[in-house]
Amino acid sequence: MAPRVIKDPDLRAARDGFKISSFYAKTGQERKNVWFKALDLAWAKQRLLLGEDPPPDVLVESLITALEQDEAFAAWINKRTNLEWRTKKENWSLVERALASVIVQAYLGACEDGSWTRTAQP
Amino acid sequence: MDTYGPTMTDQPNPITREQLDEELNGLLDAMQEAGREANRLAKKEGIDRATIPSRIPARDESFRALRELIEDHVLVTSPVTDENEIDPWEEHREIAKRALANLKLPQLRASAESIGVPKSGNRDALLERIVRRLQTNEAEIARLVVMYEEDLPTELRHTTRLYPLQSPIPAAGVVERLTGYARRYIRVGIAQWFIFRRIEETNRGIEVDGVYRSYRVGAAETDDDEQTYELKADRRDLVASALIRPGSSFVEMRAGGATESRALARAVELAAGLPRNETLPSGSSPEWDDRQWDAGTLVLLDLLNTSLRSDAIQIANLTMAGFEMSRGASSASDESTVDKPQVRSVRFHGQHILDSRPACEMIVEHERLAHIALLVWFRPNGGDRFLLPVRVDLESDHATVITGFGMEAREVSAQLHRLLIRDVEKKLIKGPSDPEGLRKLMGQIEERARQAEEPERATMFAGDAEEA
Repeated sequence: MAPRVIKDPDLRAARDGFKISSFYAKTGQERKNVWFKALDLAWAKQRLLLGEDPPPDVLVESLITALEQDEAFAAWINKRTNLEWRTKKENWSLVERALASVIVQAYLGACEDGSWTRTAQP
Repeated sequence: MDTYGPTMTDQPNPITREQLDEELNGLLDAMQEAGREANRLAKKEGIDRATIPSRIPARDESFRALRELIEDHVLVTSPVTDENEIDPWEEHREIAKRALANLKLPQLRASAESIGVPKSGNRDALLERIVRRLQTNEAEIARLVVMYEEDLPTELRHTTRLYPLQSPIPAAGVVERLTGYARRYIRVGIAQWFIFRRIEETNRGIEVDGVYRSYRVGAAETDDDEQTYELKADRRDLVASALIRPGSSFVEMRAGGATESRALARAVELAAGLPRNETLPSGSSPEWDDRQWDAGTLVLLDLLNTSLRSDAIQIANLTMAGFEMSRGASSASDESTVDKPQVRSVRFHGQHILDSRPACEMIVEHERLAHIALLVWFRPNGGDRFLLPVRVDLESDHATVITGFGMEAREVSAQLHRLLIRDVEKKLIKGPSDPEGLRKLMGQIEERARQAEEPERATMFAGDAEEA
């Protein structure tokens, strides 16, 4: 069974409060594949460095760098926040981490149940 | 990531910092490119998009976080830098962690919560999270340590030790007796002296300052070839300061640790003719109650229930309760019990400790509550209120009251400190000041000790917990 990625209550609250799982569910398969391929690469590189399967938080931390480019996610969050919320850096860090955790959770589950096959080489 | 740092078996061949950084930079470049690709697809699909105003790029932060996460598992060798040898950023980060690592886990959780980071996880996870949030903001990290550390360094707190006397200090004659000792010394033990440096009568009482000098002595072989021996003596000078107030039944030691304070108490006893009481009084056992709880316990409970529950002072969070055990303590030197396991003291750390069932059980079982540490809200003169750390210890021969400075002017905490000292003195001599309130509280404690489960909320000793 894939490990539980979101353990922090604050991340869970952000995931639920901003309906981040819905954002992920509504995302098209092509965009999901881009994230999964990026995670393939992160997984392969870090497995080489660590000598074992990388823990989920390492994958989450890697994916955040990709998600900060994502204007679709920014639009999703903008609809649910006011200007004051949006000016705080830590708010964005929290929701990006929550989205990254949701994606990594889905990725690990897909690898485990065979619906996604890792392809990338470091 | 449950353990801190790699083990030898994890990584027989270390990698260099340069290799690791290159790998991570390559990875994050690929991640950013993936992000741009996902963005292009979103545009193609006609999905709503927006840019984030004043966005601070997350890459640097992610890079550092990843590096730390990987270094926890892999042995990484880093090049020495020109001046400091250790990378200054890494050095600051580890110093920050070291400072925070002095906090106990409950305090670490409270610190995390106070700066808005998740408080779950183990000690290492909390340290990582707090330091990642605060980066190397030394002032903010120091603020957390000052706010949440129970054993504050001496330069960040007022400390007063109260040594009991056999009778109250007379109004006349004491300063005259002491004046003859100014700039003189007396011996207070083997290779131990007290040097009186200043004796002065002020509007607060008679102030005595001096130095306790002692030697740590050992024997060793000399350095020359012949087998001869010599004594090696290390001198230790410890500054101590006392306040002698006519009418009080205690000498107040206002500087220094327990060793030099005890030496000064002995010196004052000899010089001023004020005989000490070798054991700390705890008021008298109340005639109105037949539960026979320890008298020291009742002093501290009454202090919490009256002095620390007033218009000016409210308990924010009681974080530590320490008990000295009575059962079996006297038989320690008995040869027949020399191998018998014995618990002499127990300390509970956490939040709202005296509201917890295990702490209440100890009280009900007549164990001596001798140490408490808490955060209190103090509102001097009805104005703004300040959060300050407080600690009270009832030792066998003296009581100690410690008030941390918090983040406020020293005068604020000094005011609270004076109030607490006077109240502790009064209760030690006269016993509880609110017997009716104390009796009610004792009933609640008994009830809590009998409960099958822990309560959902603190109710007995949580004055204003929410805002702490």
